[in-house]
Amino acid sequence: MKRLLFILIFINIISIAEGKDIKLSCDARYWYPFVYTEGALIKGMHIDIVTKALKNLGYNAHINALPRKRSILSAESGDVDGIISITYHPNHAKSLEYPEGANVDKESKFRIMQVDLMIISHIDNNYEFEGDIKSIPAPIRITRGETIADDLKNQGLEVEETTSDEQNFSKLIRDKKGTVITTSVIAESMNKDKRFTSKFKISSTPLISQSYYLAFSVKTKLSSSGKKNIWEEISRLRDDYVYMLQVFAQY
Amino acid sequence: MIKKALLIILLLCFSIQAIAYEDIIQKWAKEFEPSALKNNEKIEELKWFYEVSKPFRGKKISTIAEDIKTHFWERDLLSKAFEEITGIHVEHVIVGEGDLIRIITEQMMTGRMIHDAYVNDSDLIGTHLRLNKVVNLTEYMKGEGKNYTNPNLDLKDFLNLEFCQDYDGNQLQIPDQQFANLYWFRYDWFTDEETKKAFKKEFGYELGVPINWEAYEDIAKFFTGRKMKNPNGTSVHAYGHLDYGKPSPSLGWRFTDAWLSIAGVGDKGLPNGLPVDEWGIRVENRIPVGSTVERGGDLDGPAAVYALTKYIEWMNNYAPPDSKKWEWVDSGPKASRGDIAQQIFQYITWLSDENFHKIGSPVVGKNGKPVWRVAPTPHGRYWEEGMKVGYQDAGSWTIPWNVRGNHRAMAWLWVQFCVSKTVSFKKFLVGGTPNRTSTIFHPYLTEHSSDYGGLIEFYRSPEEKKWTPSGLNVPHYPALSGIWWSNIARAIKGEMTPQQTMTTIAKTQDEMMEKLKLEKYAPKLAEIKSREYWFNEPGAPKPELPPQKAKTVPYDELVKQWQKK
Repeated sequence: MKRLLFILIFINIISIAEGKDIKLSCDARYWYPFVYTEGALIKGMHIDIVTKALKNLGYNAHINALPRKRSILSAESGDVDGIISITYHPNHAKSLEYPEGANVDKESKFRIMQVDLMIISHIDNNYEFEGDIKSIPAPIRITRGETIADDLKNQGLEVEETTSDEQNFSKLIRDKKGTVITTSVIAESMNKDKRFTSKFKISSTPLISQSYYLAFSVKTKLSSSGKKNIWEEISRLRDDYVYMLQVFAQY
Repeated sequence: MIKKALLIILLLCFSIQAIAYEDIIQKWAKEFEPSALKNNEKIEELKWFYEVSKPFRGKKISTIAEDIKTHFWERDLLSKAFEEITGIHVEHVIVGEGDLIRIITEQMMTGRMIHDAYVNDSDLIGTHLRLNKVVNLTEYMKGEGKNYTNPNLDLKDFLNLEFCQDYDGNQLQIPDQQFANLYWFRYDWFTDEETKKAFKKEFGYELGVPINWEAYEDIAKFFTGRKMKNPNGTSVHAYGHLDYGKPSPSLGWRFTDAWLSIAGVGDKGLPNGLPVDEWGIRVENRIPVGSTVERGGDLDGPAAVYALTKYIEWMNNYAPPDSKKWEWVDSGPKASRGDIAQQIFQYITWLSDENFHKIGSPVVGKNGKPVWRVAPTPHGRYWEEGMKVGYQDAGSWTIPWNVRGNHRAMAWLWVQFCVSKTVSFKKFLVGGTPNRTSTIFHPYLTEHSSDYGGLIEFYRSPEEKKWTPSGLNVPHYPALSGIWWSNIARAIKGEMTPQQTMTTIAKTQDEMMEKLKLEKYAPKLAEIKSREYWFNEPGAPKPELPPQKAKTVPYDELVKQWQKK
């Protein structure tokens, strides 16, 4: 009887540790088509892949959209189990757990998706990025929380972090100097804004191509095998030919 | 004195460089022989490429194409020529067509910079015009790309340029290679007197090129298990049919490449049926409104069910047992092994395989000429005069929207090099996939047409216009195509009946169409009406029809008909 009770308690603890419910954070900024909010809904390709992976494994995902730095902090502090869509950085790796190989792989097997960041400059400057980071006109404007910002600062470059791409574009067009770092899709959407139309240029060579992950808090109660299963399911879905074509088609 | 010496050295360097480039251009002009151009014309064209690419020397681009012979040749030879002439290094990646579709879709939808240009089938033209995520080449050639556009491009010389145009005639893609899907058969067996007598005795009519599926099936039945001889002396137990059925993207295009309209799904109209096309999609004023019969489509109607039923029956009863394990790349060259009497769905790109041509092959005569022929695809019972007859693939250069500035210019130069008149004829001789009228009507092919089993006669006849790719009706090829093969695979296993399969595909396709986010001409599903309502309306969807009387035509008579037109 005591043995049976012990087994039942043990199973219960494991269930709690594995968690049918899983709490995650994500960036509240508009980062279409990867992560964005539409009213009360959190949407995007990365959200679709992660929530589907979790659902397939029997989890209920609860996602909070927060300003980027706060979303990272809430994962690092253990308020949530993890954060959707963050690149690897040694600073974050102290309090976030990434899948195997994240620190070395250029295109990780366990990524949610690979995303390119582009250099945008004012049309009058005639600047074309061809791989030399030191040539990027300052200030380099980027949304707060992007890990590449620290790398650029460490190379002695002038980096200005703001809360939104729209702010960055406003400053670029107003000041007619410096650059913005963002994705092609965001840049093209800014081009539809009459304030910015045809006033900037996107360089053809990406600044960087990065793997974005679901990273777990080191304080999460999820087991190692649980996390591994989730990363593997994300990987499987991302490689699912039919599924991904249908995800792409809905944005 | 020193200045003078330096000047002389500089001049010498430039002269050496100029001489070196002259030699390179002469070398490649000679390599691309025979050609549609005379030698001096080739040199002029290659010199244009040399001059215009000066700002890009030493730079690199990446492009991608599917795994057929034509593109391997581009990778292994053309890119080398291009780099020697222009200084631009091209990494021309070769992958399966399914993978290519996945990659281009990711690039278009996420802005990820993966490749600078794609040879993407024009089956995606409906997708491209609706997504607006590819470079409009018509506008590019007039504007930003004017200085990089070959004055000798000669668009009028291209075959089927319209496959790659939007509703307004803008070129969103440009063809690199084309290949029809035709009926293939053993001419020597079909004209053997003993065989003909035996067929007539069994079926009551002459053995010949089948005009309809009833005749195709009789012929398949007749030849399966029959002992036949090959010109190389081998004897075989023949199969009356060849096909492929492995679950994979190529199983999807086994159907979406006009199989349903060959059966008779859809309406009359060229290049594609209107309002209902070969995907069974009804379109009204450029807007897709449904695939199910209840919405006026034809994807789950009797004609579509018939198409799937016959596909499964013939593969089970008349094709080699391994057919179900093959993808299109596996099955394509199999007819050359000498035991296949006919194949209703042969992509002609595979006929460039040397086993279809080399002496000693079981399908080549002692005189070195093929004993096989190609002919028009037999029709299913629902097919009507005025409909497209078969499928034509047009692998077409496509530059995604996020390829900009110098990369766009370099990609455009490489594209034009690959489709230039200098190289096009040689490219056809290697890969068997024509792209220009000047290739098809080249005197060399007039002299050597007997080496091609009827292919040249086909391309020279006006009949060729009735073989077309998927068209403007299909709103999002990548998203919809996956629905097909995953369900057809289940039908092959017997997990669903043909009707259940087509109903599932049609309903899922409509659900998907409703979710699509498109810049223009996005689907808007029509209200549901009864199947009876639609079957009583003119055109597609078509109600059930009875079998037809089997009909054949002698091949030699068919060729004469083509030559008269």
